[in-house]
Amino acid sequence: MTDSSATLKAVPIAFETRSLEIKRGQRSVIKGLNLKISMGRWYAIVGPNGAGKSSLLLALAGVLPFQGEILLFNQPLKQYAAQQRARRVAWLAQSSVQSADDLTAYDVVMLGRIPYQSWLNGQSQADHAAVEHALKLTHAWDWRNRALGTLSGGEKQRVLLARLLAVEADVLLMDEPLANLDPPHQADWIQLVHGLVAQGKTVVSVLHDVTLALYADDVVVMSNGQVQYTGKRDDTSLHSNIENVFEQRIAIQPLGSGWVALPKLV
Amino acid sequence: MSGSSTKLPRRSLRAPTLACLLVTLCVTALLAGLSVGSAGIEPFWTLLTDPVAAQIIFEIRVPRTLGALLAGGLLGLAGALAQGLFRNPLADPFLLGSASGASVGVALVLVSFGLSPVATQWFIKLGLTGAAFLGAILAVFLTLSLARGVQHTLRLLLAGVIVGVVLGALTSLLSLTHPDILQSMQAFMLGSTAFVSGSACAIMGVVWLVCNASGIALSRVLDALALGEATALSLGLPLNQLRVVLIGILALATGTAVAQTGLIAFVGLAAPHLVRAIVRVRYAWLLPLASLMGALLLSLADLLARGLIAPQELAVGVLTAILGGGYLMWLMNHQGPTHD
Repeated sequence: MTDSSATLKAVPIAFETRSLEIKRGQRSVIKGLNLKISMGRWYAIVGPNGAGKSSLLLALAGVLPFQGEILLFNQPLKQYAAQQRARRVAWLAQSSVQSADDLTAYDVVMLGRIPYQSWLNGQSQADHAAVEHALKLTHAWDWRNRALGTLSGGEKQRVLLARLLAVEADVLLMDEPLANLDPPHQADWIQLVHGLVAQGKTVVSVLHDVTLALYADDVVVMSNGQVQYTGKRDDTSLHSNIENVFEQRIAIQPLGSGWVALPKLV
Repeated sequence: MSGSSTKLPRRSLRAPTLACLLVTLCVTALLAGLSVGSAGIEPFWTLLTDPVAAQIIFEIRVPRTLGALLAGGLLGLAGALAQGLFRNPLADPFLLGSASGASVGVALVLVSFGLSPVATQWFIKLGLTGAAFLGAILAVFLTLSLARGVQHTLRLLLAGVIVGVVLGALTSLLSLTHPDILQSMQAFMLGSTAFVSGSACAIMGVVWLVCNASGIALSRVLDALALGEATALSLGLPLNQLRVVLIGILALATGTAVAQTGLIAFVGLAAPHLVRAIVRVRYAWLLPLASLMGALLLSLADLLARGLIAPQELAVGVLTAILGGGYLMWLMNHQGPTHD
């Protein structure tokens, strides 16, 4: 596992935020957030609704304006040209907001290649190769010619995931990537992420399912626009912090070699 | 995975096939347009032997038939652009207020210079087109600022209605206070292809080529926008600048069509819808296909307008409003409320 290798030497930092502040409308959603994301690891962000998880991801993706500082590979995010940033950081929205129903799966995934295309150049051989590779990784190659609007929720999610992979970025940010997947495909996704991390990619995912989040290398606990705790998945004080932000309405129990989070009835 | 959740049927017709079909139909409509007139229906080639009839064909029927095709093409393109740009299936040049803006522009020019919209001179046509373009672009920005962006479907449509009504009232006021333009404005407000000249066709043709080419070049942006504004931004697209350029193309297409043929409603709304009902394609295909569909729709409506009560004729705008209104009602009943 990556755990042991990570502790042996200093791991380079993919993202670092310093006193990050984000406002959406009048409301302050991120309030002085400090966080370091190491390269080559999988992070899961958990926390109650409205904790600012999605906003944090949007700011890291360069989509949302912010105060304070975000460093991407030790360089201020704001200094990156949009195209350069887009090649290094890919972001996946929650699937409900994406409505490209008329595009084929192949066309949707090809949109992930926009950071590599200029206005005059069309799609290169490398673009087509990346699209094919991404569609095969998510087992969506068979429906490449079907319109997105004709796919089920889970199928659509896998096409959108392939769109993210086609960017071939170093850092992958995913907002609720498992929301529409059934358990076998959730397991596929976790294996896919392990493979990406093994290639040196950094994955940051917002997950509302705590049990699935406890498969990640590191878990970031957020509430009220701040990071409450960051820890490895076996860290017991991580577990108590998670139980705290969910108002003691869940209990984290050992199961086999992992953990399971159960809702607590009162 | 099971395929049981398939909501929409797969289409067997492909985009290039539809394009060929639409081009063929447009050419047929063009030939039919040359043969139909207040002088009755006769194949146009039999008329060419008669010098008077030939003159009718070249000076009246050719420009107006070609004009209907080109104006429809511009409106269909504008509709597809608006729907992609605003991620809203109900966006069309009229609902966004751009057509009303264009007519204010035209009315202002007529009032200031005492011109007639049926004038055929080049510089007048260009001046009217320019004024319509400026009016259209100002109206779209007015609608967008009233709606505070494009996210909220209902607010966008309401803002478009408000801008349309207010600018329409302004146009009426201008024509009432300047009775000399009243008659020419009336033809304009009804929407008519009867006065389209050769120079107007040339302007529309050039604008049609420019708008289609630039629209297709930027079609990737419209595709990416379907995945959401944030996704488009995360892919490094400079959305703010691109949006201004796309609104510029939209306003140019609408303004040019409105300046030559007046207010012809619903072609811009219906054309992209009809294309989507037949094929599911990227915007690189949707834009030219919607444009061809718009051309076909308006030239068919023009044929009907000329033929229905011949030797009298209807204003084609009246006909498209009735047909388009019916289509919109059908859409309302068959698709339910649009998602936002």
